[in-house]
Amino acid sequence: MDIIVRVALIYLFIMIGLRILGKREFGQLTPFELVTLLLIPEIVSKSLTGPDYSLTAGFIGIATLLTLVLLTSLMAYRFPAVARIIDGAPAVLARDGALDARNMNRERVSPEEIRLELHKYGLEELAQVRWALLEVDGSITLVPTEGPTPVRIRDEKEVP
Amino acid sequence: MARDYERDTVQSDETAAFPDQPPHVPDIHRHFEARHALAVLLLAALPLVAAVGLLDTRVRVAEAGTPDRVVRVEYPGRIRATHGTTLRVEVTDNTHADAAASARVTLPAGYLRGFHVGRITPDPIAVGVVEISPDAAAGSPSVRVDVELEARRFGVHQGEIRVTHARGEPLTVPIRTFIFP
Repeated sequence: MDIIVRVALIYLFIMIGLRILGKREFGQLTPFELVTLLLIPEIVSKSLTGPDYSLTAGFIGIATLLTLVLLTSLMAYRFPAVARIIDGAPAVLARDGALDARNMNRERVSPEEIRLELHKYGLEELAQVRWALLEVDGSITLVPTEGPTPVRIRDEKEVP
Repeated sequence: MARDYERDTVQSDETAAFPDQPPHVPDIHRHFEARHALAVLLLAALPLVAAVGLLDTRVRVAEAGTPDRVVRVEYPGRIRATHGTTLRVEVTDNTHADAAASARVTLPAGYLRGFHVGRITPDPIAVGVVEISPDAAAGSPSVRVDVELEARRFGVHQGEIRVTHARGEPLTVPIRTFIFP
């Protein structure tokens, strides 16, 4: 029983911590975030099962964690309000070619990152962007002004 | 349902012709399915079994006796590997004579192989053999042997605790322990 409570508390603590940290942090795995991800299990590993080093305790801990993950996922899927609490909501970074400075500051997204995404989408300037969104998974999505721009692969034999 | 967007900008007249919200897809009727419940049950089975204490150490008591003497053994019926416990053998002399003083308790060697054996009280005279001295039994109708155990090898371990005496037949108490991995 002790292990179940420990795992549940740590799960809740990490979930709240990551939520406070913000969307952007784990969307791009910089060396800093990588170190953070590696350190978290190191710090909590001893707290998870306490002095119990048996395999049974490990199995109980893993099963508890997986149950919590599944329950969270089911609740977030079934009830969008829960999803909003857990994941947050996408943030508008730019609209109609204009950056939204307030949201960018809040989410800690620099214009340089927007520029990088523009190039990834094959766009040249911000004016071509209808919407720039910071998704809940930390990635940036661009919606061009003139609809979707399908990727064309040039080949020697062009198919009409 | 459309997802809400975090937005602080005020829409200008120039953009009023465009929809206020970023593009979204219409929502569907969301519901749980039986397979979701099954998955939760499967994953939660082990924590639930653990929560009700079925994977914790359980102490069992076994007794054997004659009209003048009783042997009572407290031992772990089940225990997790790496967990510690105490195996206790209590020899009670119902005649209140010095019969218990001459008792010899032999612990099953095969059973002990599943454990790391710690301190044995009183001190054994040989591996797994404890002789109860007259001093230990003085003024008391019963004497006790405590064996500190730490579970090591998972599986079923069983054996018989044998208590011999100067007079009468020896008494044996079968014990059986399951060690979880």
